[in-house]
Amino acid sequence: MRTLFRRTAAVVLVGLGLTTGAGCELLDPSNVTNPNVTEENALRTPALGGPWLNGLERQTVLVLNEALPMAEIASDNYGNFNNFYLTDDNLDFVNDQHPEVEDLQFDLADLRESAQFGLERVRDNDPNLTNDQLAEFYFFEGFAYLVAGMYFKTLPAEDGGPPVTSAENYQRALAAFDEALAVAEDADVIPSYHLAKARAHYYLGNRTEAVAAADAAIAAGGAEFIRYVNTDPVNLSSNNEDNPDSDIEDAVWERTTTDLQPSPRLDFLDPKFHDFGRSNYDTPIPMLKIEEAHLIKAEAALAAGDLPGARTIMKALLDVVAARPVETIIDTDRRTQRAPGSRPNDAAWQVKRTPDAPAESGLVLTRASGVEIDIPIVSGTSVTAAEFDAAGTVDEALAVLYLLRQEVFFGEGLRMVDLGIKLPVHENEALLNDAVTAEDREGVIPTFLPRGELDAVTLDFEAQLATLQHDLNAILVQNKASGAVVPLF
Amino acid sequence: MQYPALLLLLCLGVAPSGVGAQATGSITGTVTEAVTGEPLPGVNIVLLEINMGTASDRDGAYALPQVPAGSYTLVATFIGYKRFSQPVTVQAGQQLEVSIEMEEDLIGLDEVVVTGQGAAIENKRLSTTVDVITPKQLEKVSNLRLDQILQNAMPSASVRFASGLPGTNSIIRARGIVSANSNTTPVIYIDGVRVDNNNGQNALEIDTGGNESSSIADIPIENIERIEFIKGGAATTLYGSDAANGVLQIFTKQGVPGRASFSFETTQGVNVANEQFLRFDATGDLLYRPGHTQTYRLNASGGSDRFTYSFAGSMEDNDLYRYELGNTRYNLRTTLGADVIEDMRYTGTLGFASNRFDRVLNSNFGGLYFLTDYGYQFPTGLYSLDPTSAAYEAIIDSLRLQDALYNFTEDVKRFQTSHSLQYTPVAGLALKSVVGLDYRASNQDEIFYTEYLRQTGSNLAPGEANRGDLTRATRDFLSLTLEATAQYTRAVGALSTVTTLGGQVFRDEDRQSRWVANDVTDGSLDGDFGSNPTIDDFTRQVANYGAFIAENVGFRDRYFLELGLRGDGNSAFGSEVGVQWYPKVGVAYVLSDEEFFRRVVPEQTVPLLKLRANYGVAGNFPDAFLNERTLQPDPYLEGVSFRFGNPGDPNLKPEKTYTWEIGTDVSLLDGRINAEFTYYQARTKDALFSAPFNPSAGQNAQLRNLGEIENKGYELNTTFLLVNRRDFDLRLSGALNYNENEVLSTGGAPEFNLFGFTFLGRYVRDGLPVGYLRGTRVHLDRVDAEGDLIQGAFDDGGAFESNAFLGNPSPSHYGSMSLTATLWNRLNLLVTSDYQWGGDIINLGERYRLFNDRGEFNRTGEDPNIAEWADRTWKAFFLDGQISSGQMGDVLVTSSDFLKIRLISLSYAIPERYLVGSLRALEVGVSVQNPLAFTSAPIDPELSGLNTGGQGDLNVGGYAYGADTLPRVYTLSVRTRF
Repeated sequence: MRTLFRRTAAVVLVGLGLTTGAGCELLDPSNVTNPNVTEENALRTPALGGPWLNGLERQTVLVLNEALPMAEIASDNYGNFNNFYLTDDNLDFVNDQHPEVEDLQFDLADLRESAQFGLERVRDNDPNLTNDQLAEFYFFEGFAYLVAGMYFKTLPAEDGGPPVTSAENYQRALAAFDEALAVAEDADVIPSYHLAKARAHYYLGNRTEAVAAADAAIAAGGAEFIRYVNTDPVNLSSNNEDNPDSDIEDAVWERTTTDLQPSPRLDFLDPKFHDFGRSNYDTPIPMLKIEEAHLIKAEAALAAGDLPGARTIMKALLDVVAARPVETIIDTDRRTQRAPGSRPNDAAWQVKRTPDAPAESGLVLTRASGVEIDIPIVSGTSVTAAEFDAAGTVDEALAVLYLLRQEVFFGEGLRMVDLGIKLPVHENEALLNDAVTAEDREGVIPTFLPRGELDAVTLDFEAQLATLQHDLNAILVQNKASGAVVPLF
Repeated sequence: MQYPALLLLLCLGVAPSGVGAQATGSITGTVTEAVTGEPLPGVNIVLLEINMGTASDRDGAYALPQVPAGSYTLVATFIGYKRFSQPVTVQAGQQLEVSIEMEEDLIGLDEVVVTGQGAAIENKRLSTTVDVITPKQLEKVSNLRLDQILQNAMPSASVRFASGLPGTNSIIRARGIVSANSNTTPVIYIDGVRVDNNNGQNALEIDTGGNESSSIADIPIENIERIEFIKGGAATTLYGSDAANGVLQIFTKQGVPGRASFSFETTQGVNVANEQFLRFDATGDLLYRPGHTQTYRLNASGGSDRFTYSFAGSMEDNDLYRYELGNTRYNLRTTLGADVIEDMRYTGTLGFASNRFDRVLNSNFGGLYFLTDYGYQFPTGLYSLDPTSAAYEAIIDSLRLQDALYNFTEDVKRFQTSHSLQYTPVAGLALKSVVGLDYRASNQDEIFYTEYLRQTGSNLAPGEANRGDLTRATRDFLSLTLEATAQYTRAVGALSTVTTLGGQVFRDEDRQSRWVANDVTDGSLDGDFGSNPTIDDFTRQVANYGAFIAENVGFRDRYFLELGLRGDGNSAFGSEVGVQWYPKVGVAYVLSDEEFFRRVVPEQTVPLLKLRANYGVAGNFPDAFLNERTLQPDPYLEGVSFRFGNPGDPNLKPEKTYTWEIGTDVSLLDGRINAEFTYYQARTKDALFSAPFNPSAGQNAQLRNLGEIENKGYELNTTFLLVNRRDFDLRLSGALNYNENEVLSTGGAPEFNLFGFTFLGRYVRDGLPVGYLRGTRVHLDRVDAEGDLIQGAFDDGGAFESNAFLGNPSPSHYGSMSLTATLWNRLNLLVTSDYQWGGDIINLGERYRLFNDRGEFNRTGEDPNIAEWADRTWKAFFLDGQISSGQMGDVLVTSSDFLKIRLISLSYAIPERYLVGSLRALEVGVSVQNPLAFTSAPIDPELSGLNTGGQGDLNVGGYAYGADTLPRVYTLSVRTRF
C-alpha cells in the first residue's frame, strides 16, 4: 500500500509539473490557426479599398456570367444545343424555381452588399481611400440595382427586404450613379456613369433625362468610349461558378457546358467572344459603350416624330460601329457540337427574316478550315445607311433601329430586356422572406411574343435557306405602345 | 480548462514498481478448441485475484511460473470463444496441470470488448452491441482491403464500392444517414489511435470524373487480430463529438509467446473485368484485358513470458483488369509487447503502407467507358461493325491510344504508430495511456502530353510539341491521439461495479496543395518547364479534447445498469459554445440466468436470452474554421481582390444524435440458432446543414445547426449452426437490416442540393429522406386532343411536375449472408454475399445514350435502347422534342436492388504426415471475388460516377455511370507455417 501511495504521489507530481509548467504548452495539441483571413484582420490591413474594389469588379464578372448566357438564350439571339443544360426551351428561365434565377439574384445581392460594405466598413477603416475609389463603390452599387431592374419584375433591394419594382430598382441605381458622379475625378470612367444613367432613364421611359445622360456620355466619352468588365481566365479555382473567366465565351466558343448557336440571321456576329488563338485570353465583355447613347437618342428622336433627326443619329452610330475592332479567325466550329452540320455553316446560305420576306445573303459565314472570317468583337451590324433612308415611316425606321440595337448588343444580354421579358423572385427568397408575394414569384413574358418560337427557324439544307418564323423586331414595333417594350414610346 | 486535467490522466500509469518474493508453485497446460481439439495459440490466461497472466504459445501450451501459493480463479479468454473459468489451488513447489478447452461463442456474451467502453469490459454487461470480426474470420479475408473485409464480415454495415479502380472510395453505412453534412464512414482507430478515414474527395485533388481516392484503401491492416465495430448511439457516447456514424477499431496481433513461428503466403491470380453491365460488346473490347495479380506475405511472431513480438509484411503487384492500369502495394507492421516492470506492460505498434496505382479518366471527363458505352463519341455505325473486321480494330486501337497517352499516378505513403502503457497497480484497478499518430502523404500526378491533346481533338498545328499540362495534387495528413483511462472493478457480494474515467485529445492536420503547369515539355514530369502555373492551397486543423466517466453496475451477474457521460471541447465550435455533453444510460438483463426462467425453459432449448435497452447521445463536430467570419482574397488580374468569405457562426456546435434502442440476444436449441435483434430510433438534432440563406442576403451558405433528421430501423443478425461435429461443420449466417430515414425539419431553410445535377439532384427537404432524388415527373396521361403532352406546370394542368420526389438513393433493406463449411477440419469453404432492396439509383448512362439517339444525330446506329424502355410512349415524346433533356429525371431513376456473391473461397490444409522438415502447416486455397451479381436494373447499382462536392461530405450514392464495376478476381494461394 505504501508503494502504491508513493507511485501515485509521483504520478501526481509529474502531472502537476507538466500541467503548470512550460511542459503544458509543449504538449497542448488544441491550438489551431485559421489560414483564412478573418473579417476583423482584413479590416485592419492598411489599404483594403483597392482590393475591395477589385472584388466588386470581379463580382460584376460573376453577375454577367449568370446574366449573359441566360439572357441570350431567353431571346431570339441564341439557342442552346447542349444536353448538360437544364433546359432546351428559351423561356423556362422565367420560373421561380429555376436555379439560374436564384444564382443571378444571389450574385446581384452579393454585388450590392459588397458595394455597401465598401461604402461603410471599408470607407471607415481605410484612411487612404480615394474619391475615385469611393465613386466606383457607388457605381457598382448602382450597377447592381440597374441589372436588377433590367432582369427582374420585382426584387428585394436589401437583405430580406420587400421586393421592389423594376422602376424602383432603376431609381436606386440613378441615385447611386449621381453619388458617383458627385465625387468622381477620373475622366476615364466618368462617361460610364453617364451611360449607366442613360440606360436607367431609358428603361424607365424618361425620354428627356435619358437623352441628357446620353449627351453627357458622348460629351465626356467621345466616339469610342467603352468600359469593359475585366474577365480573368488565368486565376481560376476548382469552383467553376466562382471563376471570373468569361462564361459567355465558354457558351459561344468553347461550348463545354453550353453550346449556344446563333440565329442564322445573326450568324455573322458569332462568336463575339473568343480566345482568338491566344492562350489564357478572354475577349473582354463590353459593359457600357457609347453606341448605347446614340441608340437612345435615335429612339427618342423617333418617339418625338423626328425621322430625319433619327436618321442622322443612326448614321453617326454606323460610323461608331464601323470603327470598332474586328478579329480575323478561322472557325472550324461544327455547328453543333453534338450534331455537326446540323446548322448553317456556309456563306452560300441565305436567310429570310420571315417566311414572306426576301432571302438575304451575307449573313451566314463559312466556318471551315482554311477560310478566314472577320468577327466584330465590340459592335457589328448588317444594317446600312440606305436602310434608314428607305424607311419612310417612324415604324419602319424603328424596326431598322431595333435590328441595329439587337446586332450592336449581340451577346451582351440586352435583347431579353428589350423583349420585355422579366424574371420572378426565386422561391428560396420567398421561403425565407415573408414580404415576397405570389405575384412576385411570377415573371413577365409579354403575351405578344411567340412563346416557344423565339428562335424558330426552318432549315432547308438543299436550298441552303434558313427561314425564320418570326421577325421579333417587327413584333416589338407593332407593340411599342404596350408599355412592356420600346420604352421611349 | 479541461486540458490540464487530461494531461494528468495521461500520466497515470507511468510509475516505477518493485517485486516481492514468497513461496511459489506453477501452473501449466494446453489450450485446445473444444470441438476440433486443435491447439489454440494466443489465448489469454489470467489468475484473477493476483492479476497474473500469460498467453498460450503456438502449440497452445502455456505456463504460469512462480505463482504464490493460494487459491485463485483461472480465467482464459479468447475472441470468439466463451470465457473459461476454473478455481485452482496452488501449493508451494507444486506444478499444477490445467487443460483448457475453449468453447466457441457465437453470441459473444463472455467476450471482452474495448471499443466505446473506455476500457475492457465483458460484453455481457453491456446494453449495446459490439460487432466483432474474429481472428478466424480475418484469416479467410486477409488479402482484402479494410472496407472489403467489412463488406464480407460485418453484419450490420453496408459497404458499397463506387468503382472497381484501385484505391477508390466506398460508401460505408450502418444505421442510415444521421447527418446531411458528413460522410457516413465510421471513425477508425488502430490500437487506440485515430486514423485518417477520409473515404472520398479531398479538398484539393485531380478530378478524373467521380473516382475519388480513399484513405481507407491504404490503412495498414497487416497483422490484425480483430476488429470491433459500434454503430452509434449509446455505444459511441464515450467518443462524444466524433462518433455519430459509429466507431471501428482495429487491434493488431501482439505476438504469441514461445518459439518463433513464421508463416509465408503467396497468392497468384487473374483479374477479369465483369462485363455484364456493359451495353455494347465494343466497350469491353476497347477497355478490358485480364491482368495478373501476385501477393507475397510473411508473418513472424514469438517471444517470452515478458516480451512478445509480431511482424508482418506483404507486397502486391496487380495488373488489374483494364488496359493502362496497375497497382503495387507494400505493407509492414510490427507490434511489440513487453512487461516493463511488474504489473506494467508496454505495447507499441508501427505500421507502414505504400500504395501506388494508376487511374484512367471516368464518366464525362472523357472516360472511354463513357464514350463508348453511352454512344457518345463513337463514329456512327461502329456498333454494327463486325468485331473481327480491320475497320473495327482500327477504331478500337485509335480510341485505346487515348487511355495509353493519358497518365495518372497516385502514390501514397502511410505511417501509423501507437504506444500504450497498461498498469495494474492493484487487482481491479487498470490504468492505461495511449499515444500515437497516423501520417498519410499522398501525391497525384496527371500528365497530358501534346500527343494526348492532339488525339483528343485539340486544335494543335502539325509538329507542335511541348504543349502538355501537368497537374500535381498533394495531401499531408497527420492525426495525433492521446488517451488515458482508469478502470476500477469491484465486487461486493452480489454487486459488481466497473468504473471508468478517461480523457482523450485528438488533433487532425490536413494540408493540401495543387498546382497546374501548362505547356509542359513532352516527356517531363517537372512543372518547372511549364508556363502559367496556378496554385491552390488548403489547410484544415481541428483539435478535440474530452473527458468521460462511465459506471457499469451488475447485480447477481444478470442485472446490469450502465451510465456514462462525456464532455467535449473542440476548436471548430463557435466562440459562444461551451462544453458539449453526451450522456448515456442503459440496462441489460440476462433472463436465461434466472431460476424461474430455467424452471420453465430448459437450458437446452434456450441456453441464452438477454434483453437490453439503452439511450445515448453521440455527435459529429462541424468542419474546421466554419465558425469564423472571413473575407476571401482571390488573385484577380494582376492583383488581389477581396470578397465575402464564410459568414461565420459563433453558435456553431456539433450535431447530436439521440438514440434509444431495445434488443435481445438469444441462443436456441443448444446453441444451434443464435440471433441478435435490435430496434433503434435515432434523432439528430441541431443537424448541420449547409443550407443557403435567402438569395437577397448575398451571403454564401453557412454551415449552421438547423435541421433534424430521424433514422429508425432494426438489425437482425443470425447464425445457424447446421452441423457442428468434429469432422464436419456447416453454418449459415444471415443479417437483415432495415432503415427508414427522414428529414424532420430543415429549420426553415430552403431545400438544397447536396451535390449533383440540378435537373436530377440529391436534395434535402423536410418530410423526405436525406438526399432524395429530385427531378421532373412527366405525367404521360396529360395529353391534348392531338395526343401531345400538355406543356406547362402540373398545377396548371400541364404534364410536367417539377421538383418531384423520384426516389430514395438509400435502400430500406440491406444485409449479408454467408456460408462456411469445414470438412475433416481441413477443407474450408466460405461463401459471402450481400444484398439490398428498397432503394433507387439514377441510370445516368441511359440519359446520354438517349440523347445521342435523338434527332438527326443517331450515334448508336440502330437504337439498341428502345427495347429497354418500359414505356415506349415516353421515348416517342422525348424523340419528338416534347420532353426536354432536363425533364428526363423520372425515367432515369430505377431500382437499386441487388444480390451479390462477393467471395467464394476454398482451402485445404495438407495433413501433417506429408509435411517435411520444420514445416508445420501447409494450406492451399482457391478463391474468386465478385463472381456473381443479380440486379433489378441493367446497371451496377453499387457504382457511383458522382460523389460529393467537398471533403468529408455526405455521399448518398445514387448516380451510376461511367465507372467500371468490381472485377472478378480468381486466385490460388499457398500458405506455409514454420
